[in-house]
Amino acid sequence: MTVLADVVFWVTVVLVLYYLAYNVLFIALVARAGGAIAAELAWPDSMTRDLTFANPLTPGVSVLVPAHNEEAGIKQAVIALLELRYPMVEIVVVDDGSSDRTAQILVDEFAMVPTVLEVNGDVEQEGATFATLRSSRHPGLVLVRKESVGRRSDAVNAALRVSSHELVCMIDADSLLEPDALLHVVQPFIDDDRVVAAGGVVLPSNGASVHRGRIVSTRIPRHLVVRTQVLEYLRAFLVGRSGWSSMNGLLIISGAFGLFRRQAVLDLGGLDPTSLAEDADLVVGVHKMMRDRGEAFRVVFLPEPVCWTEVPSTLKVLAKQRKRWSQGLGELLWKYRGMIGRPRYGVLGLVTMPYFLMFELVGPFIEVIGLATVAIGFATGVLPLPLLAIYVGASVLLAVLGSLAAVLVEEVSFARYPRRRDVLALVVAAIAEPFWFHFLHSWWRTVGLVRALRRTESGWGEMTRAGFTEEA
Amino acid sequence: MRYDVAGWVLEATAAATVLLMLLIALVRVVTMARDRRQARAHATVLPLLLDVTDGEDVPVPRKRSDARAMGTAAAALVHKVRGADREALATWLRTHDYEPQARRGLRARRPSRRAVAIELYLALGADPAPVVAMLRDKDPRVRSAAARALGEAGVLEAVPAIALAVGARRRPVSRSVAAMAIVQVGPASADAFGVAWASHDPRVQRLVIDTAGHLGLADARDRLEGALASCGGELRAHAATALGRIGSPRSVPALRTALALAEPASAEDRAVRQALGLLGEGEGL
Repeated sequence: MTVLADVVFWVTVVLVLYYLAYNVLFIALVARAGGAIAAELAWPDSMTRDLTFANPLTPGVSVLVPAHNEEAGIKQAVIALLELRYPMVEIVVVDDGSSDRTAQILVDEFAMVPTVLEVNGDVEQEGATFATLRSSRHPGLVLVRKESVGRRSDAVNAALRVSSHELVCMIDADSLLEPDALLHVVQPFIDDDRVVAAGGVVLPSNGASVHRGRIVSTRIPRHLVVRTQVLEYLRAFLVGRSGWSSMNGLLIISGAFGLFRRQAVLDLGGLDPTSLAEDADLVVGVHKMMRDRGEAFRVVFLPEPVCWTEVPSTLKVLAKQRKRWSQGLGELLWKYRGMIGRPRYGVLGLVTMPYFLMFELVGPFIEVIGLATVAIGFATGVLPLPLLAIYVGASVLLAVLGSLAAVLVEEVSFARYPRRRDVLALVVAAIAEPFWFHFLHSWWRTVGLVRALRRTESGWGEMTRAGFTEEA
Repeated sequence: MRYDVAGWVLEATAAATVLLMLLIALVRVVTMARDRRQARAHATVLPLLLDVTDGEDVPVPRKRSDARAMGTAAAALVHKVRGADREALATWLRTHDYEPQARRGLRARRPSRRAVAIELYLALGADPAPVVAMLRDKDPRVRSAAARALGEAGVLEAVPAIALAVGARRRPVSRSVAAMAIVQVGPASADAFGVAWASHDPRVQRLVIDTAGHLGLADARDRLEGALASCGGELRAHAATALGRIGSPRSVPALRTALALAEPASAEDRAVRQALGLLGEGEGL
C-alpha cells in the first residue's frame, strides 16, 4: 500500500507540474496573440486592399483544391472561389480518384472541356493523370482527374505541377473562403519580400448558411461535438498560431488555407507524398530550407482572413481525424528530429518543436497514464485530497481559463459570432470540455502516437459531408 | 497548511475563471455600444462629406468624436474620388485645420497611427516631403504605407526616392510595394526615375528596369539597351523583357547582340528570344 501511495503521489505531482507548465505556457501564448492581433487590427488596411486589388502588378494566385469524394460541397466551394475578390486567380481542382460524382458535378456545372496543360516536371506525382479539363465559361478554372494513391499530398502535387502563378494557395475542397481572404493573405507577400508562406484562420462552417458560395450567417452549431471543435479552432488558430507567428515560430499552416511562394514549394520538390501531416511538413521544410540556405525569411499567420470548413459531426469520424493528425505529427517530428533544440533553426527549433513534442505529441500519453493513476489513487484512498484539489486546479480550471481567454480574444477582436447566445454557448463549451472531450482527445492522440511509432500506413481522411445549407 | 494551499489554488483559479467570464460579458456590451456609436458617427458625417464634395462650406461637427470621425472618413474618401471632388475634400481638410493633427500623427509612437496619419496628410494635398522621409521609417509596414500612399496620391517627384528605397541597406521597402506604387503614380517618361537610373544596387536596377518596361516608357529604350550590354545576366534578362514590352523595332540590333553573347538555354537567352519574338523577329530563332 505504501508503494502504491508513493507512486500515486509522485505521478500526480509530475502531472500537476506538467499541466501547470502546459496551461501557463498556453495562457502566455494567448497574451502574446492578443497583443499581436490588437496591433494587426489597428492598421488602416482597407485602402491597402483596394490598391492591391486595382494594381496591375498584384501577384497572381493559383488556388489548389484537392478533392476526394466531395460531391456534397464541391459546387459551392468552386463558386466561392470564382467569386473571390482578387484580380488574378487560377483555380486548379484535382479530382483524386473520387468514386462519387465530384468530377461530373464540376463538368456539368462549369462546362469543363478537355484541354492540354503545361506541366512542371520538378514535382513528382504518383497517381497517373487521365484527363485535364478547362471551363469554357471560366477560363481560370481547370480540373485535373487522376488516379488516387490514397494521399492528399499527391493530389496537391498534381495541382502544383499545372499551376502557373507566383503564389499558390492550398485549400480543402470542403472549404469556403471569405471574399476578401486572398487580398488579406497576399498582403504580407507584397509588403515583405522575405515572406515565403502565410496562413489564415480556419473556422468550422457547420451550421452556417451559404448563398452563392458565401457564408451569410454564422452561428455556433447545436451539436456538442461540433461546438467543442469551434472552441478548439479558436484556440488553435486565432490564438495558438497568431502567438507562434508573432515569434516567427509557426509550425503549421493548415492545409485548409495556406498561401506559399510557388518557387519555394517547387524548390522543396512539392509536398512530401509520404507525409500524413503534409501541411505542417511543408512549413517545417520551408523553415529548414531557408535556414540551411542562410536566407532571411518569414512565415506569417493572419488572424483576419477566414476560411470556413466543415468539421466532423460524429465522434467516430472525429476520432479517425484526430488519430491521423497525431500520427502525422509524430511522423513529422521524427522526420525533422535533427532540428529540435538546435539554435540554428531559431524559435521553431528551440521553442515550437520542443513544445509540440512535449505537449501535443507525448502529452496525451502522459495524461492518459496520469489520469489512470489519479483515478486509482482516488478510488483506493491513497491520493491526498489537497493534491487532488491542486491537480483539478492545474488541469481543469487552468484549461478552462485558457479556453475562455481564447473566446475573449475573439470577442475583443472580431466577434464573428454576433448572437449573445453563441458566445454563451462557447463559454459553456469551454467549461464542459475538460470533463469529457479532453479525455477522448487524449486517448485518440495516444493511439495516433502509437501508430506513428509503429509506422502504420494511413491515407485520405474519409469524412461524411453534409454540405452547406444554401440560403434562398 | 497543505489543505490551505490546495484550497487557495482552487479558489484562485476558480475566481480567475469567473472573472474572465464576466470580462467576456463586459467586452460584448462595450463592443456593441462602441459599434453603435461608430455607426451613428459614420451616419452623421457621411452626408456632410457628400455636401463638401458638392462644394458646400460644411462646418466641423461640434462633438469631438464626430469631428475625428469626419477627418478619418474624409481622408479615406479622398482616395476613392477624383478631380473636383477630391480637391473639394482636400480644401475642406486644409481649411478646417486638420494639417496639425496629421503632422502630429506622422510622429506618433505607434506605427499604425503613423500609417493612418500618412493617409490623412497626403489627403490634404500638402508638401509630400515628410511622407517621402517616412520611406526610411523604422517600421517596415509604415515604409510600405508611405510608398503606397505616395503612389496613390500620384506624387511624381517621389518616384526616385521610392525606387532607391528598395536598395536601402538597413530599412528597405519591398520591391513589390515599390513597383506597385510607381505603377500607380504612372510616370509618362523614364526621366521620372531620375537618380535611380544611376544606382549600382541590383535591386534598384531591376526595379527600375521592370517598371519602365511595364509602363512601356519608350524613352527608357537607350538606358535599357545600355543595361543589356553592361549589367549581369539576371538584369540583362529583365532588360530584354522590358524592351520586348516597350516594343520598339529599333531595339532589335541590341537584342541580337545580347542573344549572341547569352549562354544558350539560360534565363537570359530565353528572355531575349521572347523579346525578339514580341518585336516580330522570332522567325528562325
